[in-house]
Formats: sequence, C-alpha cells, structure tokens
Amino acid sequence: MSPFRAALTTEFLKARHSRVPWGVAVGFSIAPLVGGLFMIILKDPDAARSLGLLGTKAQLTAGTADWPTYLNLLGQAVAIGGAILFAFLTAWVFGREFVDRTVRGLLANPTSRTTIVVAKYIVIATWGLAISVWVIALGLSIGALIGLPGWSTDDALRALEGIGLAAALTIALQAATAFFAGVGRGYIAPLAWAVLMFAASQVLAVLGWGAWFPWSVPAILAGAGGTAVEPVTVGGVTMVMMAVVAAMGATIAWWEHADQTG
Amino acid sequence: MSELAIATHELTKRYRGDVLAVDRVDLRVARGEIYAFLGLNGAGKSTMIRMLLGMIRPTAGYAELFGERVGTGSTGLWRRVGHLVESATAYPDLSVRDNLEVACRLAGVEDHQAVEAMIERLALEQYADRRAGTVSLGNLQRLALARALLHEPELLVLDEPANGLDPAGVIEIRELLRSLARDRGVTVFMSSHILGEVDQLATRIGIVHRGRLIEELDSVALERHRDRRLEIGARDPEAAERALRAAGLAPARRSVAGTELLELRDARALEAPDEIARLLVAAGVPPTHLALARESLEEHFIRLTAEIAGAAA
Repeated sequence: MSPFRAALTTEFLKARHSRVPWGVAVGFSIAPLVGGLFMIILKDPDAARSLGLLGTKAQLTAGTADWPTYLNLLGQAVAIGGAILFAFLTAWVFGREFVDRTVRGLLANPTSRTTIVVAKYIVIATWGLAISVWVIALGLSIGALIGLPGWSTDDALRALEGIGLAAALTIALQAATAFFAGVGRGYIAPLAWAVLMFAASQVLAVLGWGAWFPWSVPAILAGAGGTAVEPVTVGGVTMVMMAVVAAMGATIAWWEHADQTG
Repeated sequence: MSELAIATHELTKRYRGDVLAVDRVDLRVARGEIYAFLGLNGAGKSTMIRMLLGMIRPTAGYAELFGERVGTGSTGLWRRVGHLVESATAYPDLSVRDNLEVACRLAGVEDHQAVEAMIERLALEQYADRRAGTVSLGNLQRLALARALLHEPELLVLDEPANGLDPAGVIEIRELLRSLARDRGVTVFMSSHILGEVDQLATRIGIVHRGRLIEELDSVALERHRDRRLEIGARDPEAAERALRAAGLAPARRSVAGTELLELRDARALEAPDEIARLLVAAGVPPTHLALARESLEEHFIRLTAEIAGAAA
C-alpha cells in the first residue's frame, strides 16, 4: 500500500468511527428542514397560525413560498452554516490529534507529515461535499414534498451551481482553519478563527468589500445579500483560491518544521 | 554502515525565554545496547528524545541515527525506529485492534498478521475489540509498546516504557526488551524514573542534569562507582564506635528509621566483615546487625545530582 493510500484509509477510518462528522451531517440537515418549515408558513400563514407554527402577530418578510426563494435560502444555509459547521469538522480532524496527543504517532513515521496533512484535507473535502450533496438532495425532496410553485429547471440548475460552488469554496477555505488547529494545538483556535472570519465576512460585505474578501465570497455566490451587494467576479474567486493555497502551504510548513512539543 | 545506532554532536536546544533544555550533549549508543537516560523532571530527557525523533529542531548541533542525520524529511529512517514519546496515547474511539491497524498502515507494514501477532505478544487479546478510550492505563501502555514494535524496528526509543504497568507487566516488558536486544540486536534507548528497573535492564546509563550529560557509565563502571559500605548495628552504638576507632577504623553514624547504624567504608572492613564482628565481640559490644550494603542506582543518582546542585550553589 502506498504511503498516500495508507494515510487516506486511516483518516477515513478515524472519521468513520467518530461521532463528530456524523454530528456535522445531522446539524447541517436542520437547514433544509427549517427552510421547508418557512416555506410551509409562507405558503399559508393562516394555517400555520392555527397549527401554532407562527405567533398570531408575527409577520414574515422572508419572501414568497416558491422554488427561487427556497433555493436561495438553501444556498445561504450551505454557505453561512457551512462556514461554521465545516470549521467544526476541520477543527476535529486536525485538532483532535493534539487534544488526544495522538500527533506523536504521526510525526516520526515512514508516512510523511505532508502526506498525512493532504490526506486530512481530502477527508474534510470528501466529507464536506458529501454533506453538501445530502443537504441539497434533502432540500429538493422537501421542496417537492411541500409542492412549491415556480419550478424552472434552468433556474434551479443555475441556483444549484451557485450552491455547489459556494460549498466547494467554503470547504476549501477550511485550509486556514486547519492551520490554526495546528498552531493552537486543539479546537479553540480554529473555532475562534472561524467565528472571527464569519463576523469579518458580514462586516466587509456590508462595507461593500465582500466580493473581494475570500470569506464573504461563498455566501455572496450562494445569493446572500441579493442585489444589495456587488456580485462576485473571477477576481473574487481567485482571491479565495490564493487564500486557500497560502493556508495549505502554511499548514504543511507548520507540520513539517514547527517544534512538536504536544 | 555505522556501528552506532545513535550519535549526537553538541546537540543543543534553547527554547524561547532563554530556557536551555539540552546543552551540548554528545551521545554515542552502539547497536544492540540498552541505554537508559536518567534525569530529574525538567532535566531535558523528553526534549532530547524528541530531537532524536525529529519532532523538535535543535538550536545547535545535530543527531544521527544509523549514521543518517535526523531531519523532518527522514521518512525512510523511521522504518527502522519504533518510539513511545512521554505518555501512551491512542485514538480513544477506535478499538485497540484498529489503533494497531492505523499504525500498521502508516508504518508501511504489508503483513496484516503483524497486528494479530503483536496483540498476542503484548497480551492484549482480551481488549483487542474494546475502544482504546476505555482500557486501563497499563493496557494503554501495552498498546503503545505494541505500536512501537509493530514494524520490527532496529531501534526503540522509549520514554518511560514501564509507566502504568503492574509489577508483573514491568517484568514482562523488561524480559521482552532484553530478549529483543539479545536475540535480534535491537538497540533500546529509554528514559525511566523506575531506577530499580533500569538497574536490572540497562547495559549503559547516561545521567542528564539541567540539560547536560553529567555521567555516562556502563554496568561495570557503574558497579565501580557505587558507594559500598559495611552497616553495623549494636545495642550500645557509642561503645561500638569507640571500639572501631580504637582499631584504626573510621565509622560514620547514620540513623535509619530511628535505628542508629554505624557505617564503615574502609577497604579492610569491606573485605573482611567477619574480622569486624570478631573485633566488636572482643570489645564486649557484639553486633546486632552486620551487612554489606551497595549503593542502589537510585542512591547513586540522587547523590550525583545533589553533588552537582551543591557545586553550582
């Protein structure tokens, strides 16, 4: 077995046996369910009030109960929710080695540290994309079950393309979260980083720089902010890719060269 | 091919804050030796072990294993080295068997029977399917040792290998390490706080204090360096002391658990304790206790580190 295959199969083995990746999947599943609930309420607010789903004086301004609104909600959930939930997944995949002190077994090993880091990235990407596909599939099923109006295959494909790209970029940006899991030797630093970037992405989007700030780009691509924000261009996506490459390089350099005292 | 399993050259590590953890250590460990590295907490043992394994970069100097310089890119070298650094660790949500399976794959071991063989060798059969997070400290230590041995390394670098083991386990691991060194020529570099254990196992001992290697002895030299004395107990210690002094000897008095003992280090007394007994009987103070005592490694270690501390003060 090649060192890369060995590293990859062991990382998948660890992920399969832990509750955290499954917890992230369950947590993410809440997004289409809540989105579906909103659609039910928007579709018939009076019926929702009578069922106790909506307060008697509450007014919903989320939009109309149709496919474009629902897909937009789904996209935002994947991009914004993913920024936090994928950070949990990343903090676990990298940070647990320091918390459990199992990192010692990964350092002086015939399988190189770079190979192990790359294998961990692949596990995060695979798991993250699988969760995204699951959430989108669940969302589409819920939308069909509710009987939402306004379906257009072209519009839906365009929306799904945006959601898919947003998910991919959100997952790729976890490279920076991984770096902080190493430097902070645990869970706190990567999660603090994720929260900080989440807050910064909101503020910079409001200030009009969102299309260029890597951590704002996925949510804007997924439709967050609507027409109020500047659309993302190739330049914005390039910024994301540059941030990802820099973070991956920094993570690998840290694993290869930093003193490992944990 | 280098005859040395380990060689360090002026190996030094200075941490931020100007903490000198390891100070110009030159170490040579021949193949097949069982080398024990002793020191107080904070003496620099773990930093030294981590530098040998490429986990910490030296500030100055370098380490070589089998003649190859240690660096982060030394992946080929690690096929020949098994290690246990500080406390035993394992993936808590994986079974004991899966933990070994992970180690097996990462070590590039193709023979998957190796996992079962190691489970049997370290007596882990009963716990093989239990999650590692639920096994006792002793069994976790066995798992860590199994992982270190899994790829049949030529060099074992073990930090406290007997940690958490019960007395039977300590003997079992001692015999295992001894047989690996004797039968397969495996070199063992170990640190331990259990000096009695080290005393029985090590063929050479290095004592480190405040980052410096202050003494290095093989078992013969250690025997020579050890303090030997004749311990004498008597109902009237003062009278016994007078009798011994009158015979030209130089007894020292020591209180052990409330009992006054006289100690003689004169060559004459050490070579012929029966003469001392006769002398005391003739003086009317027959001995109630007469024993040749040898300084234990523990006592030797404490004496040496105390001398160094005293000299530095």
